[in-house]
Amino acid sequence: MDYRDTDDEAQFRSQLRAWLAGHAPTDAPPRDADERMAYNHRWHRSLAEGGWLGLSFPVEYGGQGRSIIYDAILNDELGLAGLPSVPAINHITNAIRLFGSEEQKRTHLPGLLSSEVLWCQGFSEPNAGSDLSSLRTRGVRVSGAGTADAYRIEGQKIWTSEAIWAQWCLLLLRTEFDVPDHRGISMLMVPMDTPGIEVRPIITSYGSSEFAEVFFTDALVPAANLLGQPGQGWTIAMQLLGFERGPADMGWTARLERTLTMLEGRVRSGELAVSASQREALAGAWVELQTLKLHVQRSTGARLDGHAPGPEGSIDKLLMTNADQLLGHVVLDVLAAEAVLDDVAAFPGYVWSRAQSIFGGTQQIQRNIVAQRVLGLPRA
Amino acid sequence: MDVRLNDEHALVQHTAARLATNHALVVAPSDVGAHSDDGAWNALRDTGFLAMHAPESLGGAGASALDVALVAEQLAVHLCPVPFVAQAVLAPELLAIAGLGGLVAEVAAGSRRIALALRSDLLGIARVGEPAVAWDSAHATHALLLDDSGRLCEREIVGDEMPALDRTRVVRSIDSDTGPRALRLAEVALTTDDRARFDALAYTVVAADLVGVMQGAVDSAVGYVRDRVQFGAPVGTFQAVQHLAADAAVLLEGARSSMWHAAWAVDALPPLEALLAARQAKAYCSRAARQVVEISVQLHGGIAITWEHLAHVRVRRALFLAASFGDERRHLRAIADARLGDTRAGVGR
Repeated sequence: MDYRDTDDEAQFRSQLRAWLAGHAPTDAPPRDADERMAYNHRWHRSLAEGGWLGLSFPVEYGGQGRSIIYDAILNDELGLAGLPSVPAINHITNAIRLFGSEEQKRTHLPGLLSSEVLWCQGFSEPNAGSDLSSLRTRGVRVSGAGTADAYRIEGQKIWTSEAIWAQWCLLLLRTEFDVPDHRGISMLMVPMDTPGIEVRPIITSYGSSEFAEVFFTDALVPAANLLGQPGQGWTIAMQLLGFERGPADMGWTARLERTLTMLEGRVRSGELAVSASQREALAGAWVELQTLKLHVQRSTGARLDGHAPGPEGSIDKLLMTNADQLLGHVVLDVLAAEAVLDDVAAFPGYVWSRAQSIFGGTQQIQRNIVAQRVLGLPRA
Repeated sequence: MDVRLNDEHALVQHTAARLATNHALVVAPSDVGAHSDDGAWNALRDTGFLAMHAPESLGGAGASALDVALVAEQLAVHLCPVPFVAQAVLAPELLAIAGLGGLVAEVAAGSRRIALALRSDLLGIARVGEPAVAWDSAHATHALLLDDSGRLCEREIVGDEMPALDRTRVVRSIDSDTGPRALRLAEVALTTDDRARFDALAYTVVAADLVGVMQGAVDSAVGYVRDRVQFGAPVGTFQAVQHLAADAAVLLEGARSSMWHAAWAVDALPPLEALLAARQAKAYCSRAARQVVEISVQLHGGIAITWEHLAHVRVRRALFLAASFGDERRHLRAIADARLGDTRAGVGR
């Protein structure tokens, strides 16, 4: 047991810091959505060229084959420095690695790992949020003389991050119709320039547009783009959820730490006057954030043995939610008027803290998972 | 970074759990007083769990603080009424810091039983002349305290047992005016670093005990709601019940993650950093433990309010330990001072 970097890890961290000092964007992220996307894309390409992406991905598929601790260090450093996070493609690359054919791996993994090709994930639907397995986007297999073997897709996805800019979509859709809900779902890799796909941005409550709705109307996608077998989509999706936790959580945790550290700095310097109870609240937020970080480190450690991430990840997500939302309240309380006189001083962080208990499995779904799959309580 | 328990840690956990169930099995509140303590104490001695964290060069077992914490946790899971925290860990730690190898060896051999004199507000080790109590002092003849210069002293415990909340621990009164005089054990005072490291160990081991109490409370509640049938179904199938249980599990695992780190820090980090880590764990565990035992009571329903059920033994142990060595608020204030600087810079205090 050791919470410190090993010599190798420390060397990696210091090399990373040195590289960041010379390569990280020095200008603030633009507010305009398209410019911001271009800004992030340049940053991701730069990270890839610097050799900082695919750290724990197997060497045979273009990664570096390091332990996931290195992913955690990268995410930690980017978060602490307030830099845009790495591209959120862990689940997509692992889906292709674990379930793709050799040809699919050769075709898609290089572009993903180099950040040249942008992907989005089409899972949620207007009527299939928490109840994802009831999704209704349909793909009907069409083939025959003069027609390529393909799926004709009809339906709608929502909350699809970065769909406006993505070239590919990892799509969950129903392709089998005479089987129980979750067994009729397949996973398809869909080129976003396929005729019949329309993307409409969703404006968030603080004015950004990272999400979109995606509409499919008679969109024809080759059946060869299927990932895994017809009907295997749900199994794949469930296996992927855990890849959102662990090292990836370290990035978000570091971002929250940075917010708190900056607030503490303003208190220490006397710039922000705080009461005794606000001092306790700041300490309380630190305790909660530390607990989150220490737990994420423990979860990351548990994966060093090679165990695939399991339902315990829901505990991490719930601790994250507690810490994020507590901090959100402390920031509003300590900044007081400043938080409400400037639309960007605290509100975006606050909105994200509320979204924390909604995206990636709501707080209620996570509690179901902990109760049923970690504690072993019976299902109704 | 490698945050994992190894096989030796697992063996320590297993040994402690077996010791608790073999020698101090508590399945009902009436069991708590039924154990003479000799059997369990001899078992702790035979296992090398006495003077556990004191260095081998001074007659201790030389175990890591993490090992010690894992033992404290397991004993608490089983509500073991054995004064491990004060008499097997913290008192011998003070003796070792003062270089009193002979006394450490006597403790390790089971021939001396020494507890701690805590200030009567339970915040920490008492000074001679301060109102104090002999904390976790079952079968102890003496309690350790410090004189005004910070030199280690002991005094004989002659006071009566107090009606303290924790049924699994003995607290006895110390009359500092008329009781036996404190005898100085060491000529050299504890340094600031000694104090910081001792306090870090104390907060951590108490936090570990709290984690054990939480684990027992969660296990008990989960077992109960699985079996208890209402409306024609086990109540554990109801989402309202499941979500309470999940909240308790999240608090428990967060507490355990904090405690592991604090325990590691005691041996690995400079004293003030170890102290901050320990305050973090003690603050989190103190609050989480109360929440978890309250959830456990709620999930058990009315039976948890009865004398016959173990729930109140857990609630008592949790509340008692949350207040011992400083509650959440006390540590939050100290953390604020450490991270935000001097309070005089602030207002409204």
